[in-house]
Formats: sequence, C-alpha cells, structure tokens
Amino acid sequence: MKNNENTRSRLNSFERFVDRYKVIIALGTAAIVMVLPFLMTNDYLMRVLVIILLYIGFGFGLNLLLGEMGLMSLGQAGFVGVGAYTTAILMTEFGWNFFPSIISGALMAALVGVLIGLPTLRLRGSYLAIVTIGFGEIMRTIFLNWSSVTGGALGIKGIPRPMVFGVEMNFTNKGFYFVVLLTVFLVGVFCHTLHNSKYGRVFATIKQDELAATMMGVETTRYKVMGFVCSAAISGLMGGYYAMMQRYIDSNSFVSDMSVMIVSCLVIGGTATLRGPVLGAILLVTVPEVFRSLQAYRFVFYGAILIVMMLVRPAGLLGWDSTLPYKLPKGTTEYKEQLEKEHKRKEQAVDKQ
Amino acid sequence: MKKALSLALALVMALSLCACANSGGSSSDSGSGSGGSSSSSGSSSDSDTIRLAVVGPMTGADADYGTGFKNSAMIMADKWNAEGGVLGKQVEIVVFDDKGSPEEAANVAEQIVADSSIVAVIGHFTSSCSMAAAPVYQDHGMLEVSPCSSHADYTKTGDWIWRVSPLTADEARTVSKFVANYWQAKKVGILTMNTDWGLEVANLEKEYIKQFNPDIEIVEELVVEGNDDYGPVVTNFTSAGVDTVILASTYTISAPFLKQMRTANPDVNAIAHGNCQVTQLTDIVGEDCNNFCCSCSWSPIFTDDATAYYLEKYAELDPDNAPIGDYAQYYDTVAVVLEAIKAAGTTDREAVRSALAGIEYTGLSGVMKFDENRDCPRDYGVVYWDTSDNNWHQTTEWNT
Amino acid sequence: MTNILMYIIDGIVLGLIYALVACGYSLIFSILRIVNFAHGSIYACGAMLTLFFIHHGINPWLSVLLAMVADGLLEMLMDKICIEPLRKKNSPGVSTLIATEGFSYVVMNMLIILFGSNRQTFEPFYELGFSISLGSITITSTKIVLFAISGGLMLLMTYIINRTHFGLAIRAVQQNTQSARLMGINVNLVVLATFFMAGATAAVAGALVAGYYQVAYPTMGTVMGNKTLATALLGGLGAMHGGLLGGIIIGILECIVAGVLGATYRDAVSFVILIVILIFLPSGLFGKKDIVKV
Repeated sequence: MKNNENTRSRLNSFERFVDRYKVIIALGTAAIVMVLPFLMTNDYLMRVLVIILLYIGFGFGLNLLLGEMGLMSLGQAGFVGVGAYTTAILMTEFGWNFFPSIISGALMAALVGVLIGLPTLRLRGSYLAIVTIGFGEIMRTIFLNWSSVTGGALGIKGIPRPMVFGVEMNFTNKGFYFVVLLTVFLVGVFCHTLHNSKYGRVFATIKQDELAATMMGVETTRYKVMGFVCSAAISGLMGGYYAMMQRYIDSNSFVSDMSVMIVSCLVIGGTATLRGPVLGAILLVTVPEVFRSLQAYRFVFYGAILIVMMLVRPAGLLGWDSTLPYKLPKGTTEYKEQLEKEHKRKEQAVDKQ
Repeated sequence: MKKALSLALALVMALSLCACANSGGSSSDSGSGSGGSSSSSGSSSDSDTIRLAVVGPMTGADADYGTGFKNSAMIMADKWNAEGGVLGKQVEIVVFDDKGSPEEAANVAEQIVADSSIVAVIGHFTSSCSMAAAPVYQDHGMLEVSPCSSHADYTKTGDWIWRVSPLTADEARTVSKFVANYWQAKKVGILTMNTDWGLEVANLEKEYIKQFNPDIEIVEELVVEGNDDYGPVVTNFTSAGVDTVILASTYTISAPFLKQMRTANPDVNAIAHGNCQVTQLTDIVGEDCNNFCCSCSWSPIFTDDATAYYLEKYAELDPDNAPIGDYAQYYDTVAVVLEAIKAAGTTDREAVRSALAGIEYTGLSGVMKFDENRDCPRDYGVVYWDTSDNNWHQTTEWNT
Repeated sequence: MTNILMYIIDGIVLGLIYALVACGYSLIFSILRIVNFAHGSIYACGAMLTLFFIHHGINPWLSVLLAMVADGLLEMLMDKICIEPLRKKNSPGVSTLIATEGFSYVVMNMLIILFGSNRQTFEPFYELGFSISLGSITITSTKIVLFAISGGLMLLMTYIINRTHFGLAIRAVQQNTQSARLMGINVNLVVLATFFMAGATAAVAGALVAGYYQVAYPTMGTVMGNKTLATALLGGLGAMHGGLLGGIIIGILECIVAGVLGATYRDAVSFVILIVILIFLPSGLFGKKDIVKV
C-alpha cells in the first residue's frame, strides 16, 4: 500500500514537472526529431526511422479502439492493406499525386471500417477479437483473389515515392521521413484533440462501463462505429505511406503478423496514451534489428515478453493513468470560478451578520 | 522498481539505435559481420576478401530452405577459395535473413546497399521478397542475381536486376509436351497454386498443351496453402474424369493432394515441377508415388562430376537432408557471379554487371547464359519416381 | 449432383474435426469466460509430439496417449503461468487474450526450432485399408474411422460433463464459481482438470488430422486454430452441441465453396459465416446470453 502511494506521489511530481515545462520539453523533442534524420548516415537507418514512424501511426489508429474504448482489434492489417492498395492503384494506374491518393486510401479504409464496425457492435471482448481476426483474413483473401483490381498474386509494383512540388521525397534526401513525420504528428494532434473532446469522454465511458453509458443516454452504437471509422482511416492513411515505402505490395504484406505487431506495440508501449505507441514502435522495430543473431528465437522472445507484460504491467510501460487533476473544459472552469466567487460572497455576507 | 525498468528500457532503446548505425551486416559463418556505414554505388572498398551477400529466409516458415541456400553458397565459395579465390582474394559469403517477409526483404536490401564492401547480392527466394527488394538494389546500383525468383516483372525492375532461375516458360513447355505427346492425355486437371509462379505456370501450360494437341480438355482448380484438405478438389477432378494431373504447386500442397488424389484414383498420371522433387513429398505420398514425374533442370540423380562433388560436400554439411533444385540454383548463382567478377577483373559493380552479360557458365542445371531480358533460359528434363527402388529415374525417350 | 454429395460427406468429416478441436475452446470458455488463443499451437504440438514418440519406436496408439498427457500438462502450465495470475488480479479480458496469444507464439516457435518447419510424414495409425463405394461416391476407411473416433470422443465428453460427478462439478463452477466453492468443490482442481481435458482433446484432434492428411508440421495450428475458434463461437461458446452443429455447418459450407467457387476461398468461409451469424445472434447459435447484472 505504501509502495503504491510512494509510486503515485513520485509519478505525480514527475507529471507536474513535465506539465510545467511542457513547452520546453515539446520544443526539445521536436528538435531531436528534426535533427535525427541528419545523424543517420545511410538509407537503411532512414528506413528504420520511417518504419518506426509508420508503426507509431498504426499504433495511434489502434489506440482509438483499444486504448480509448477497450475494443480489441486483431485485424488492423486489413485496414492498412485497404489504404495501401487504394493508394498504390491510384498512383500507379491513374498517376495521381500522393496526397489525394493517401486521402482516398484513408476514405476507403474508413468505408471498410463502417462495414466491419456495424456488425460487430453487439459483440464483446473475445467475440470481437475473433471477428477482427476473421476480417483480417477476409481482406487478405480479397487482396489475393481480386486480381483485376489488386493484381492478385502478382501484386502491385513500381509504386512511386511522394512528389512534393516536383521533387521526389525519398530516403536519401530525407524528404520521405519529413512527409511521414508531419502526417504522424497531425494524426497525433487529431487523436489528442479527440481524446480531450466530448467524443473522448464518451469513449472513456464506453470503455469503463458500456451499460452505464447507455443508461446515461449515450448512443454507444454511433460512437463505436465512429471509433472504427477513425481507427480505420488512420490505419489506411499510414498504409498508403507503407505502400510508397515498400514500392511493391502483395497480399503477403498484410498478414496477421502485422496485426499482432501493431497490437504488441501498443500493449508493450502503453495503451490509452499517445506516448505508448511511440515507445512501443521504437522498441519493437529496433530491438529485433539489434539481436539479429538470435532471430530464430525472436517469436519465442516476443511471446514471452507479451506474457510478462500482461503479468507485470498490463497497461504497458508508459501506460499509467494520469495523476494530475482532471482539467475541466474551458467554459466549466469559468463557471466554476463564478460559482465559487458567489459562494464566498454569500459566506462573507453571512459572517458579517 | 518499475521506474528503473522504464529507465533501463530507455537506455536499451538509445543503445539499439546506436547499434543499428554500427551494424552494417549480420555475421555469417565465414567471417565477421562488420560493415561500412556509408552508402555509395560504385566500387567496393579495398578489403582482403571479396564479399558476396546471400539472402534468403533463414528463419521463419521457410527456414529449412534458407539453411539449404546458405550451405550451397558456402560450398561454392569454399570450392573457389580452395583454387585461390577470385582476383587473388578469398571469397566471403555474408548471409542475410529476409524472414520470408517482403517488409524485411526491403530492410535487408537497404542494409546491404549501405555496405560498400559487398559486390553483389545472391537472392532473394520468394517473389514477394525479390520484388520488394529489387527497387532498392536498382536505385543504389547493386547487382541482384536471383536464383529462384519467377515473377514475370522481376527483371523488368531495372538493369541491375538479373535472374539465374530458369524461365517458367521452358519448364511449362516441357511439362506440356510430356503430357500431350508422351502420355497422350485426353483430359488434364491442373492444380494451380494461387501465387504468381503457380498462376504463370498454369496459364503457360494451358496454352502449350493446346498447341501440342488442341483436343485435350483442361480443368483447373485454384488452391492456397494452409489447408491440407483437398477433398472437394479431388471430387471435382474425379467427376470430370481427368486421366492426368499437373501440379502447379509447391510440395506443401502437392504432397497431400497427390496422396488424396491417388487414393481416390490410383491410375491417374501425375506430373509436377522441379520444386516437388523432394524427399518430403515422396515420403508423404509413399506407396502411391509410383510413376510420379517431375520436370527438372537438375536432379540429385545426375551422374556428372559436378553433381557428385556438390552432393558429397552437401552431405558433409547436412547429412540428414539431400539438396533440392532450389539449393542447386543458389550454388550455381554464386559461381555465375564469381565468374563475372573474374571476367571483369575488378570488383567495381558497373564492370561486374557488364561482364555478367557475356557470361556463359555450365552449372549443375545446364548452360547459363543471360538473354537481353537478363533472364536465363534453360533445358528441362523429366524424372520419375519408382517405388520398387524408392528412387528417381531419368526418362529420355519422351523427348524424341 | 453427386459432386455436392461428396462435398457434403467431406464436409461432415471435416466438421467433426473442427468440432472436436472447438471442444477445447468451449470447455475453457464455459469455465473461465476467456478464449484460449494458444489452443491452435497446442493442437499442432499434439501432432508433432505424437510423431516424435512414433519415431522413437513407441506404438502409435500409446504415442497418442502420451501426447495427450503432454498437451494436458502444457495447458495446465499455461493456466498457471498466464491465466491464473491474471484471474487473481481481475484483469480485463484483453490481457488474458494477449497473454495466451504470447504463449501461442512461444509454443509454435519452439516447435519450429525443435522439429524444423518442414512438412513431415505422418503414417495413419488407424488405416484399415478398405473403402466403401456407393455409386460414384467412395468413402475411405480413414474417413469412417475419423468420424467414429471424433464422434466417440465428443459423446464421451458430453457424457463426462452431463452424467458424472466430475462433470457436475464442472457445470457448477460454470454457473457460479463462488457458490461452487462454498459447496465444497475444489474450484482450482476443477479448472486445472478442464485445462487438461482441453489439451488432451487438442492432442487427439492433432494426431487424427495429421494421420488423415498424412502430414504434420508445426504451423498446422494457425489456420486450424482460427477456424475452430470461429466454429466454437458460431455454436456458442460453452455449448458443446453448439460446437458440433457449428463445425458441421462450417465444414459442409467450406467444402461446397471449395468445390464450386474454388479452394482459394475456403479459408475465408468460416469467418464470413461467423460474422453473418453473429450479426443476428451475438452469442452464437446456442450460446447463452450473458445476463449482466447492473
């Protein structure tokens, strides 16, 4: 008990420290993130950075479902694939620029998100999980068999890198990294805003106790579908970049291993936070690269780490609940202060008597 | 305690990013794996060895193939080294693992091109991996010579992308001729694996069979790996009355299917491709494997000296498993690349690439010479399995 | 027309196999309300272990028995390591899900490391060598034996659950763990025994399937695991007769789709059926609706 209190108070001081200096910390992180690519001496390291960014993006997408609403999705690779294929087809077959292509990819994925969100609304926990696995498998089968659109087993080759004002953004000129970084940053801002908005609060209630939420008059159906749509859109958006990074995709790129990796990033890094997927992606992408000699055992370690994490720290490494007092929305604080002032006046008036 | 854990993990993270910067290549069995971290196209650095990268699925579901590829590459490298190496330097094989995943294949490709001491790449294995890695090699001017890739667009990626794997068209024509002329089939069932290779082989065979004998009827069934139940497929073929089946699939599909097909129809003729000439298949199909044919450009039953040498050396490395056609391709590809380096007289990648175009090398599977598409046509033969002595035998009378 | 009949017969046999494996999922879910994602790997482990014992000269039937015991112990180990600690902490369902998924990875990859990833021959130890022909339909003896053994095992399980004391204890724990404990039932023992049974059925199913297709390999549990989970969910987790019906439906439909549309679509069939059924019946065909007390 005391240990817990100690931890909480230390966490509290840490969090207050971060909160006070958040501008400096943010600027510092931004500086590191902008300078990092220039420290990378070759394209391989740039590629590792970009893969980390992509998985951070995937993690943000899954976080909307798993972290915010407690809905397990083991089929994110399906959404990624839809975005990737849409982007790839638009860029190779129709010669579109990358920007409308990835937006279309996100929209297609969002559409698919509705299709998968609606039937799963009444499902809980494990039922939902297996349905998402099934969804991933069905998407993979579609990618493999709808040859006229996806190229079937031959895949789609020659996907170009993004062109910005006529300049190709690739690893060598670090352009690709910055494009993806900007996108991931915007996605992060979107998730953060969503979390602090009324939608975020609804998601939190659904996560805590869906029955109580419905009793309070919340249309949980609508918000759950919304969650799926947003998660799918984000995954599809990042999927478009995935296609541009790989330059060749086929159905083998979107297998369940990718879905499990995305879930693991979140689970290990920390659910229900934005910092969680960041750490998770960094760890899960870089650590296997370092331990190449033990590659045969990588899945054994992987599985063992998942088990240990669930036993020791199920919320993930960075997934603690915030100890800071809840920041009430703007209007509320002012109203609260107004009420307090009035209350004080009334008390003083009573005291005077 | 938990905070210390988080701190430790942050340290690991920082260290691993630094370690990434330093590890240019993975270590192989022959030699250390420190690579340069500068990327450059052009000549390799002045080292004491000539380094060739060999890439394949060393771990994962195809790990057994990877081991075979690695062993075969080592044998060829050792053979050259015993004779003095190439350009006066010893050959060093640097092994990379693409885990059978296209994402990882592109990762490994970036790693390899960052290592300026590597002259050429022998790999990858599957088409998904080769196709994902090819743009990287093409962009950075690194030779990729694939021993096994069969994707139709593979060499079209660019002029640094070559392949030693025999043309699918050649194999398809051999099988079609055998089925149409020798077996004189009336109704053929093709079992097509839903991969780029399976689809291409099946389509070509349908065309060629029609060319050899337009009266032959063809039925086709599309299958995927992961399921060992081929009941409905067997039912369809049986009720269509096929007398011959062509297996356009790898042994993981061919073996259980053939067993089930022959159980239902013991008299049906069956022919598959080079990748099915493996002990796993003959073990699984067992007694029902009699007179099962495979087209192949190389077979362990060949009696020439080169094959004998290869088999002997392979048995030293791995006495429990015999090499298969795909392994022999890696063996030959290493030799082809080394011949090109020798002919070029330098390890400069441009020069080696130009030299490659003029190479004519007799390997285990025949004469290898690149055509204008950077492909390597080859001749095919047919072997059949005899259950009376549990061995493969060559057939020649069909090709008259 | 006879083709369809043949598809159906194949489908029924396949369905029984699915149902047998699905038993394992149902057993554990009915007691603990969790899905055991490691079941597929343990099924593959059963097949590989049986092969291992056979290669060392042990009689095939005895090998299966040994594999059953080994798998049962493996499942019990999984409970002790992954599931029980999480149960005690009252962790949310997703944690157990992830923990069992992790265990699945460990088991499957240890199998690959120990036995190699190649397909290995598995001689059918129940080959009787005859076949029955009804017109143009041939039914081999392996199919009949498989049908008999799977059916027999499912009947045995149903008998154990419904007619023995032990089964009564299981059902009591299913309904209300607290009350069962108060009535003097050793809940921990019952849970462990359930895991053992799940592991044992997985091992038998693995050995049967490996013998039927005559091939065994460490990754055979991946596709099978997902499909049989879909079967169990279709039937309604916790209801064994549901799993049987679910299995047969999925088996038959899968074979028909494979025969008519093409075998390349067959793996998606079980999931499509599952999604469609779950839209209308969120607890599956026979699943009991969980009454959540407010």
